[in-house]
Amino acid sequence: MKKLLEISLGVVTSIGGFLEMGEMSTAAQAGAAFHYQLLWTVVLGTVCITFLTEMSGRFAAVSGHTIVDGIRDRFGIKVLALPFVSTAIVSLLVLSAEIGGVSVALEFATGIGYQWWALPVALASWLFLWRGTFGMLEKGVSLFGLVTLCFVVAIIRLKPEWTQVAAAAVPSRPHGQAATYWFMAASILGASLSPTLFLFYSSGAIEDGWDRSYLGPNRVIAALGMLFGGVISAAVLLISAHVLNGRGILDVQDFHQLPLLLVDAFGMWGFVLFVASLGIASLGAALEVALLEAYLFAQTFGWNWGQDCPPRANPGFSLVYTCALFVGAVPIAAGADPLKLTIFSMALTAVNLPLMVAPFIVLMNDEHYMGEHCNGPVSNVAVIGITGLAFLLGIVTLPLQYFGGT
Amino acid sequence: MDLVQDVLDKQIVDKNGVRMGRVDGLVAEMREGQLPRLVFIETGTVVMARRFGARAQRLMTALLVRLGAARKTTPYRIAWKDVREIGVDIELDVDSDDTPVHDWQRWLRERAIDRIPGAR
Amino acid sequence: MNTFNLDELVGLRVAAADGKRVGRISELIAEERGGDCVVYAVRIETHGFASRVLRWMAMALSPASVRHKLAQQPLDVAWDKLDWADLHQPRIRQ
Repeated sequence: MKKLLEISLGVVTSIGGFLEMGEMSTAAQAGAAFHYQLLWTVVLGTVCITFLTEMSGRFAAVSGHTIVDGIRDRFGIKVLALPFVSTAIVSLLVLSAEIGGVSVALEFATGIGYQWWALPVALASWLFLWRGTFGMLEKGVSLFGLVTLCFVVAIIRLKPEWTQVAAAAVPSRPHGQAATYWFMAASILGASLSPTLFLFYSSGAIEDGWDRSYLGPNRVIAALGMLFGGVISAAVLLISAHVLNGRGILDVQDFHQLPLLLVDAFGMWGFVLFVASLGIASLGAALEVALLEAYLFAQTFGWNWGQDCPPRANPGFSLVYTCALFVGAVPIAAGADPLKLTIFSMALTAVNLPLMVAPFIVLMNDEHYMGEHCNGPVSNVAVIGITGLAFLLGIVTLPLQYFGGT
Repeated sequence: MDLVQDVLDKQIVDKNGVRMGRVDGLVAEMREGQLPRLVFIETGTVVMARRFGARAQRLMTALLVRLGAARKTTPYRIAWKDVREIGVDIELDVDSDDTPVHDWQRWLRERAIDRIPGAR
Repeated sequence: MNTFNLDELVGLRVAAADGKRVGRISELIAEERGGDCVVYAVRIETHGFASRVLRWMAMALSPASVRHKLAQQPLDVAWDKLDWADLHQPRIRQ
């Protein structure tokens, strides 16, 4: 039972890894452009990330390795090199997007432009990592992240046609604008399946000292944690469909339109709740992605690591998250559009996905690491199928979206 | 014992459980008329680069020299007899403070980290 | 001491005595003998990448009971049975 209380790892991973600027932006855009139709991508993304997260916890608990550690262990540095570099770069972009998310929330709250908030946000995040422990991060983000439940309350209040919602949970083809439809599908899948999430979860499980006795709780924690994120993401999409698409606003051109989402359901409070949700979720994500970069470097090169240790104990580890946060703040401080940056980084994540998932899934089927806890065919099919889909969509639609013709 | 599966690329841990790099290379002695024996495990940035080929090794060495870290170009070798146990990690009979593997981190600690408040 | 880097052997192509390609070195097998860790055999991976991926997929998608039947038998060759005159091009002796 006490182990189930560690649900906070699941929820924090969900808030920072699943539900953050990326998921909220892509879901909002999808709802505006295609009404309920893209709901199936949220469902598919949630299913796949639940499998990946459960596998991630199971891997850590049984093998005693984090995923990156395990990949280097099993395949050697030559195989790890490419996913390491690509994930480090893509994660940095995602970090920028998250810092952008917090900065945008602060702009909504104060009226001061988001560019001015980029460096203060990076500094505040840095301070939190410098002085805080992993437990503080987990429980803090999980607790404050519960504010995002307001989206669920909002969609219930808006009384959608639930039969229509259910119909949209099944994949369907677009009636027009096919390229945009599939690009958005790729972005949502990329936002849901971010490697940050399952890589972070395995490091977190090791930080929390999970062993085989955690296998049962791990399943519950992964499922509930990801369900939490998935339901809220779905709510964002449905609300956007109502509030924006319902009014004929088919495209979220400007992030300033986003706070409108909760005003219908809550009036003035909707604005406050939206800003709080966006800010907290993006801050949680920023902290996690920065930590993830540090874990990535430390585990690839074999440095000592651990969020619970004081920074001076692990200078290399501390240096990485410090640099990541300040480099990540630069594009936002320089005026990059946070919404556009987010959507782009999410699609890029979808393309990067197989590089990390492929070695991971080989590990999950390796008896040497997993003993009798290897993956069964169901997990394998689910993960390979959905990540394959995300990759294909990303690789096809990304060039079209940014470099293609009309 | 399978050297690639059980030793190469594994995490090295000192006698106190402190992580100190990964096994980047293996050094064996070639003996006349006898089977080769493993004498050292190697760890280091240049050794890691060597795994990608001789050119990568040269580039890494040049880069480290350019950064003023010429000391890091010599790989750190751990005698096989100092390996205490091979399990999830490679455990050594050595204290990492007695080795140069953390020199750059110590440098970082003195020059940068300790100057920032709250590092303890 | 005449030393060489064992890790450089991993991935090397191994040819048969007649020059035909046998495969690549995938593993170095060692054991403790008289206080020394002695390398006494190498494992050679005879299948190509595509073949291994397909075999892995077949194993991953089948239930646990069937998997063992699909597993590959490794090709282990004693160190002495290889001609190491050129450390970069090992050949199986006649």
